[in-house]
Amino acid sequence: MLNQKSSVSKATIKPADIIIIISACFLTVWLYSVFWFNDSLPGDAVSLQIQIADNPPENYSLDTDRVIKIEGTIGDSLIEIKQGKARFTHSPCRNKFCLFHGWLSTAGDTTACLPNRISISLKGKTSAYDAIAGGK
Amino acid sequence: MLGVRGDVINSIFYVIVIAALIMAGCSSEEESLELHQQQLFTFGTLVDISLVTDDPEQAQLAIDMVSAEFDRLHTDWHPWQDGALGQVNKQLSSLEFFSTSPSVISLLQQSNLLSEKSAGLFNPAIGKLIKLWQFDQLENEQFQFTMPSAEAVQSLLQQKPQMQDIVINNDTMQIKSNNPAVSLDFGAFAKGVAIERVIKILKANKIQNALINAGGDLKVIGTKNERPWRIGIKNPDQAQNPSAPAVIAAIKLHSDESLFTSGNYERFFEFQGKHYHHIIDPRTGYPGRGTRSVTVLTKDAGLADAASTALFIAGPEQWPEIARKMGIEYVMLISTDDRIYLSPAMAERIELLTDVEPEIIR
Repeated sequence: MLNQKSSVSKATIKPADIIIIISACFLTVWLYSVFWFNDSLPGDAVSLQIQIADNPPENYSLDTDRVIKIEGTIGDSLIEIKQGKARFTHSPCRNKFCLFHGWLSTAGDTTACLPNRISISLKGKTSAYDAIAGGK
Repeated sequence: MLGVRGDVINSIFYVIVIAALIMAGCSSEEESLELHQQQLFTFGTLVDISLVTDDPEQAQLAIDMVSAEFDRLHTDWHPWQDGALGQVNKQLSSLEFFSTSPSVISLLQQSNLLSEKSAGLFNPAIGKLIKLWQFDQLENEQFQFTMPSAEAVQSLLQQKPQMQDIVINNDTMQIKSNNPAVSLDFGAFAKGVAIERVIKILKANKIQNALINAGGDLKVIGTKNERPWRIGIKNPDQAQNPSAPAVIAAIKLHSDESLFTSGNYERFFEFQGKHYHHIIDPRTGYPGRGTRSVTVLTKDAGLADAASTALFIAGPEQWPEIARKMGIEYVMLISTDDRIYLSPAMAERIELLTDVEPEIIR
């Protein structure tokens, strides 16, 4: 049907065709930029997952730098998101192992404040690792 | 006019075809089975469960069973609470026979053998020493650590608490201790045995592909969508140096393999500016020296757990000998002076992501 219609018209280039060709070019470039150049590398984290006790985890974007306040079992923990990384910056627990862990930077990396029952994990589209071994 | 509209429709049609082709080319590999993940606060740590299966109901059922088993074993095997092992520790000093649960007897028998193979470096009989270092209070928010006195440490060491002091009567399910200094703490073993048990539960429930990660110690079965499970090993530097890479090495695990790490950065007290970590050397009564972390790969998770502790204590000089005795082929040890030691088998499998040149020890 479509082909029949186009074969009726003469094969001359009209202004509308130029607009279409240009927009097609733009669309292709845009698609490449979305699906190729901007695609995260394996291991690049795209979001932060926070779990409080046994509640379903919640996801936070890593695009905006900010500090998130989370109320846990024994008090408030602060979690900082900066330049695509995340870490605990304040915790009501005594040992502060969650603070000692430092920045999470790779998808799959996880740390937790056990007394406050809060865990934070970086998630990626494709993780370089299925798990990180060696100490929480 | 009609021709222009036809061209427009045609062009849009081709643009969509091109877009579809681009999208198809860029999409990642198709996953036929689904990944089910859940985090649990259990066994005194954070347990990450990953199951790959096409049956979400089965996955949830299995996760619930795993969660219940971890909770049950944690109560049973906690050395200082009121569970089965807690009761045992209260009765051991009577030096008379008393009854206990099959799960404790099974732990005792397995660890007896491993303690012997490790030349006593894996020694669950030093519960009193660990208590002297107050690691029973690590979770207590109000507690303040104080340095144990050298006399108290020496007096416990001289009484030589060891697994051979425990007598087991298999017929009556009774045990007794011949040494009043013995108190049991399976902190270097219980997690491994628990992982081994929950993996059995998963297999019994027809889960063929899974990863159980309990606070950085893990075991896998099957594959992750028909490829081996990819594991990153945490860089012990990262705790002190935030700009250090998160991962120091990568390794692929095949079905039924366990990977356990003992590190001086995991659990510790800070006292007058110094770190006192939780891995106590049964020969000196003080936290083991010379090692920052040991990673062990072997099939049985209980063996992996005990061996990672024993090799941590053995240190940079003695670990190859103890690894041989315990039948461990794959070892990576990072020393406090930042050297990386690998067993030959580990050197072939591990991918180091650091500039440090490893030393391969035969």
